[in-house]
This record gives sequence, C-alpha cells and structure tokens, in this order.
Amino acid sequence: MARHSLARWYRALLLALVPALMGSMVDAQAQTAAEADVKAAFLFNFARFVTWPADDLHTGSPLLVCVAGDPAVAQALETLVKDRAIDGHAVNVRRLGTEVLDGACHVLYMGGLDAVRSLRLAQTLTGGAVLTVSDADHFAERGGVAQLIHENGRMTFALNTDSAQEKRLQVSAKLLGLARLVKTGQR
Amino acid sequence: MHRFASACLLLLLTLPVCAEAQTREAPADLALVGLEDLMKMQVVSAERKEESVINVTGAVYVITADDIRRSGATTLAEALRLAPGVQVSRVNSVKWAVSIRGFAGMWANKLLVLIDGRTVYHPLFSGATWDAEDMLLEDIDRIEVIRGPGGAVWGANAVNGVINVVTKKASATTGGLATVGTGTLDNGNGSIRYGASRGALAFRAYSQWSSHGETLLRGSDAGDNWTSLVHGIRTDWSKDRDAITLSGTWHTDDVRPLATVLPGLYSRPFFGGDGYVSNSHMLGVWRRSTENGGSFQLQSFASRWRRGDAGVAHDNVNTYDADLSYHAPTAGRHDVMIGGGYRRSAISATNSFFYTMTPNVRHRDLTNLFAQDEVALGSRVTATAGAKVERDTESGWEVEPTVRALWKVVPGRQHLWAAASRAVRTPTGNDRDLRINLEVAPTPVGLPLLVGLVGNPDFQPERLRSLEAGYRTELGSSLTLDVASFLGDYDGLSTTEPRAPRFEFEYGGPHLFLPLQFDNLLDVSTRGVELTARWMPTTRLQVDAWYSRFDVTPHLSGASSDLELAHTNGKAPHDQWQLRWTLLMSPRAELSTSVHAVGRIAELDVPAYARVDARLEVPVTRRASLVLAGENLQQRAHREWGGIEEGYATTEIPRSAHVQLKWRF
Repeated sequence: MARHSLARWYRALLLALVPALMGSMVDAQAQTAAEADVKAAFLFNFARFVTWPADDLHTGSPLLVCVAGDPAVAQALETLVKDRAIDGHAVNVRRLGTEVLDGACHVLYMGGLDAVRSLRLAQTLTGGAVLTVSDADHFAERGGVAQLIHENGRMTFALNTDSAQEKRLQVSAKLLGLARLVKTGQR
Repeated sequence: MHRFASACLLLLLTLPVCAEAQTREAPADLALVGLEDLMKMQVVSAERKEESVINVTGAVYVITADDIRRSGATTLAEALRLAPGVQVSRVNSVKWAVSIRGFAGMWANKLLVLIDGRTVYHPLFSGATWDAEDMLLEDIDRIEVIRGPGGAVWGANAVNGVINVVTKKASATTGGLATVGTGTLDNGNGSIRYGASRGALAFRAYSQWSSHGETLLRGSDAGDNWTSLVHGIRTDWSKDRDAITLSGTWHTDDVRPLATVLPGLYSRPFFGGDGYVSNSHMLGVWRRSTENGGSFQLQSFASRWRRGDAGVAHDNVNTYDADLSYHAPTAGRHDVMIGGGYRRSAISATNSFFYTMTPNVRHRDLTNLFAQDEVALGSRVTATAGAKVERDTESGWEVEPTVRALWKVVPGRQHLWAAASRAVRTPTGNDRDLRINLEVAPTPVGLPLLVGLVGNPDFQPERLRSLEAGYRTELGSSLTLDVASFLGDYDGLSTTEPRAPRFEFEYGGPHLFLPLQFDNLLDVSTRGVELTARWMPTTRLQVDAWYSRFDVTPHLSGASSDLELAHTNGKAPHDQWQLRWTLLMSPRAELSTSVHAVGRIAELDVPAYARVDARLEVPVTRRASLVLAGENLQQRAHREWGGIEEGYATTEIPRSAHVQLKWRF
C-alpha cells in the first residue's frame, strides 16, 4: 500500500477509496485477536502464575478477579473463566465502577484511567493482597504490580517485583522470565 | 445531500463484505494459548489509542477530570480558566467571552468548540453560547485545549484554537451518583446520574438542575439570575473491532442576560427582560479498527436549538451533520488520515425592531474534505502535511493547509515542534445580512436620527497565517515543562465604517438612518508565548503553573474610520499567570488552592485583577463526601469585561462560596 502514489490518495473520492483499502488489508501471517480478549487472557495467566498468601486465598474459596471500568474485558474474562479453575479455586469475575471499590479482590484490573488515578483507586480497597493491573503508562514504575503494554500491534507486560513483594504475592519464575522487570521510580 | 447519503449507504453496505473477505485465524479459546504465544499475537483494538501530549505537534493542554473537580467550577466556561492561553471573561451571571490568543467577545468567532466531536456553534455568528452548553461536569473525562490554528483538521472557524470536550465512556460512570448543593452565587443545584454495564454494553443517564444567582451592577443586584435543566444519556457498545456510541442531551435554560434592547423609533433603550434557550442533540459514532492498525469512523449528529432573548433576537437552528474519516498507518513511513463531512444548518430568525436578518429563513451548507500525512523522516523526526478544503454556501471554497514537524531530541523526554498554517474565518449571516438598530437621537430638523449596524454583502473571510514553535520536556517522572510560541498575521479583520446617512420610512416612521457597515479594513500582527509546568513529586501533591503573554500590533487601513481599532490589543490582556496546587490528605480528601492573575484590557477599560479560589473535599461516610469551596476570595467584587457594545451589560462578579454533598450508590 505504501507503494501506491500518495497523489492517488488525494485525488480519489473518499467514498470510492475506503472499500478498496479495506479489501486489501489481509495479513494472513500472524494470528489476530481482539484487545479485550487478549487482556482477559493475560489476567487469567497472571492468576495462574501468582501465589497468594494462604490467609487471603483459602483452599477451595473462589479467586476473585475484579474488573473496574472496562466491560469489554469483563465480558471476555467471564467467557474465558467459565467452568475453569486455577489450582482448585473457581474464578469469579466482579465488575466494579471506577470511583470507589467494594468487597475483596485478588486481581484488580483498572481500565481507562491514568496511572495516578488507578493507584489511588486501588487504595480504596481495604485489606488483602491485591495484584493490581492496568494498561496506563508508567503504572508499574509508580507502584502498580503489573502493567499491560500494547505496542507495535502486540501485547506485552511489565512487572514491578518490589510491589509484588510488598503485597506478599509470589510470582512464578515463568512470569518473571517473560516480563519487563521494573523497579519503583525507574523508567 | 441525497448523493452523499446514498454514497454513505453504499459504503456501509460494502463493509461487511470486506470483513468476510479477510482471513481471521484467531483461536477459539485464548485460555489454551501459552503466554509466549499470546505475546506474539497481532492485537486489534476497538478503542482509539490516545496520543500522549508529548508527541503532539502543536500547542495543546489537557484539562483533566481531576483538574475540573478541584477547581470548583460549576459551568463549562469556568472550567476553561484552567488552561494557559485561554481568556475567560465572565461578562455577567449568564454570559462569558472566551477566546484563545485574542479577539474575545460574546460574539467571538475564532474558536471552535467540540463536545465529543459534535461542533457547538451558532451558524449566524460562528461562536459558542456558553450558557447553552451546560452539562454535568462530572461526566467530563478531559478537555483538550489546542491553541493555534486548527483549520487543517478541524475546519474553518478554528482560527485561534479548538476546545474539545471529551466525556467519560459509559463504562467509567457505572453506579449511581447524586449531588445537591447551594451557595451564594451558584445558589442551588442538584443532579442524579446512574450507569450500568451488561455484556459489552454500558450506558448512563443523568439529570441536572442548577440555579445561578445575580452579580452586581453599580453595587446592587443586577437581576441576571438564570436556571438550567439538562438531561442526558449515553450508551457505549464495543466488541472485537467495532465500537458504537450513541448519546443525547436535552437542555433548557431560563435566563435574564441583561441584553440591551431598543424597542422602537420613539423609545429609549433598556436592559432586556427574560430569555430562554433550548438546546438538544443526538449523536452517533461508529468506529471500526482495521487489520493493519488503522481505523475508520463514521459520526453523525442532529441538533435543535431554540433561543429567545426578549426583544433582542429569537432564532431557531436545526443542524444535521455527518462525518467520515479513515486512518491508515501504512507499514512504512507514512501515517495517513483522510476524511470528509457535510453539515446543513437550517436557520430561522424572528425579526424585531432591534434585530433584522434578511432573509430571516435561510440555510447554510458546509462540505469539507481533509487529508493529512505524517511522514517519519528517520527515527526521531516526523513531518506532517495536511489540508482541509471546505465549501460554504455563504462564501465558496476555502483551503486551509498546515505543515508541521516534530523532532524527538531525546525520545519521550525532550521534543521540539514547529508549525506553519493558514486558517480562515468564513463570513456568516451576521457579517453580511444583519441590521441592528442601536440608538435614536433627535435632530434639530425634528426627524429622529437612527444609528445602526448593517452587514456588508461583500464581507470577506478573515484570514490568518501563523508560525508556531514549541518545546516539551519531562524531567524525571514528576515534572513536565511546555513552552509554545507563535507569530500570527491576520488580514481583513472586521471593522465598522460609517456610511452616508439616508432617509428611510421603514421601522416605524420617517427618519434619517446612519449606517455603520462592517468591512474588512484591519490587519493585525500578533505574537506571544505560553509556558506551562506540572510537578507531581508524590501521589499526594500536584502543582500546576502557567504564564501566557500576548502582543498585538494593529495596522488599520487608511480607508477606515474605525479609529478605536487603530490601538486595539485584541481585547485581550497582555499577560496572565496561574498557580494552583492540590494536597491529597487521604485517598478521598483533598485541598486545592488556585491563584490566577489577569492583566488589564485597556481598550475595554478593564483593570487587572487576581482571583484566589480554594476548595476542600472530605469524605463523610464511605460513600458520601462534602465539598466546601470559595471563589474570588481576594476581593469583594471585580469586573472582567467592559462596555455594552456587544449588546449585553457587564457586571461585577462578587466573591462567592458554595457547599455540595456528593453521594455514590
């Protein structure tokens, strides 16, 4: 497409052009998936490869994944965890608002807020070890545990090991190996 | 109109076909995909990825939802005081003169205002009526203030800047929120909002009622109180590649704007009585992402406006608009955006002795096409070229081009940008076909002499050529600095020229009429700079400061008799600065203070003034919080504007305080 002369773009009628462009965009190489589905899959994987302290997650009790402010991700996660368990814990998805948080969460995903607001929102949760996740810039370096990074068309993630340790979360070597490791305050 | 509509329909019908034609190989269940493979997948998003401010090739400032809340502002115009380079002058309780980089006024026509992409302006004078845009400020996610000509992307009338109000997605406002408040100037308000999400759909609905009290005219109450009632809904739905938003607002105001009215040939002018505004709209946006990381967007809105200021003007405007844009980041150096749109405004004005529009029933059609290409020249430099081509029934074709460059000296840390643009303010009905009968004086011959403003059928577009440059830096993770400078060259700005008096019989009897006709005889050079700093040393303290300076050199044509304009300063202060800070005492308690100094506006005889505002918010229960706020604490009352030549009386804004209870359920 870059080979077509730009002069053609400026002269052609907009309406004739768009369907032609749509039709030419086939990328058969990589698998594609919707962002909400991929984020939900990451949250599921975080839950799989992190261990919570025994007094926060008792044997047999459900693992609570809270999604604040992103119904697409909540929906995708609800579909993903149906009839699935992690280490014998059922996975329950809780949809929360983005002003004040109620109840308990093991994983908290906040969508659509910047880093500072996400961290302040997370503080309104009382008690328990919470794995905070966000897609906001600088979230991990400001103290969040995990940050989802959507760049160059792919999704990757960063982990702040200091934060994880503070919250008594044990992160498996598998996650540590794949993550970008970040310390608080570092870029 | 029919051709465009059927072309759009054709486009919409081809889209599902295109979708089928692409191969998608997404696995059925992502839970079975290993983390390593998950990280290799091509991810497509339905939502627009927000550009970080440091990467913008232009002067932009983002007023966040937190900034708005902490300022204690109760109306949209007041919230705009937070941005550098924006001049907000409150004329009286219900009227504001807002502009960027000069030429403010209640009929200011060089600023484009958008709310969620819907243009908010009156086609007869190309400006915004701020009291008619009341909304629940709590619903605003951010206000992007773009200073400088935005004509290449946003079109005509974005000569000095663009204010883009973006509301929160419905998924960010789930649950219930109720507020009730009272105060000395904002003397009563209440609102209720409820939102929820089910599946991939989220919605919210709200209602807000507010009553605003009187300001001071010569020491006593001015009689300019007003009330406003607004209802709104919004629904968002997104799945895979598509996102659809539908929203609507219904708004009515009862106002007493202190309009000056001349009721008849043998009467004396008085400050008018009651008025009303009714402003409703429906907006739909459909955004679809394409496989290569691009997107296209179709947006349409319809709005209905009814306004009457007793004796001054009554007008009804129905607007229909559709816009289509396509963004293709090609794999390579180019990032292209193209689009087009059509807007029809059907206007009907009621003529009175004071105000006559000929013809008073008219329509204005605007068609536009725009294109923009961002080319990466190396890994650190981006050059952008863009243009918008517009056709207006009132004034024919106009082209607004822009050329910009961004140099990432230290990527993500120090960026330099520069821009050269041309922008146009196209003539409106008020410039060409208006007549306003201003005053009557008796003459020795016994015939009254009527003096009035008249439009000029040959009124030309006002033009701007501008050069801008700026620098942004992020020092550490807590301090950002932004400098923007500009040079502007305006041609053909509006002047008012006396013409030969003539004998008339209309308007109530024989009289002499002295016309003051609009003409384009003023050229102006402007220059200025805006400095902004934001410092957040911890998550508990945030400090913002800005300074803006604005210089005007007028060049009035020798053929003009509008001698006051020979010394104009663009009706703007020479400089302004603001310093505000917020201290977070706990996750829900915050104390904010702001000091704002505005220089004097000599040509309107407005002295310099300073505002000191403070606001405290504390939680009272787990779900409720209490707000105590004071505005203009530093003096008993002050004036921000001057003169009544624009038809509305300027009053003094008193010191005020208000209290509010907020409850989430």
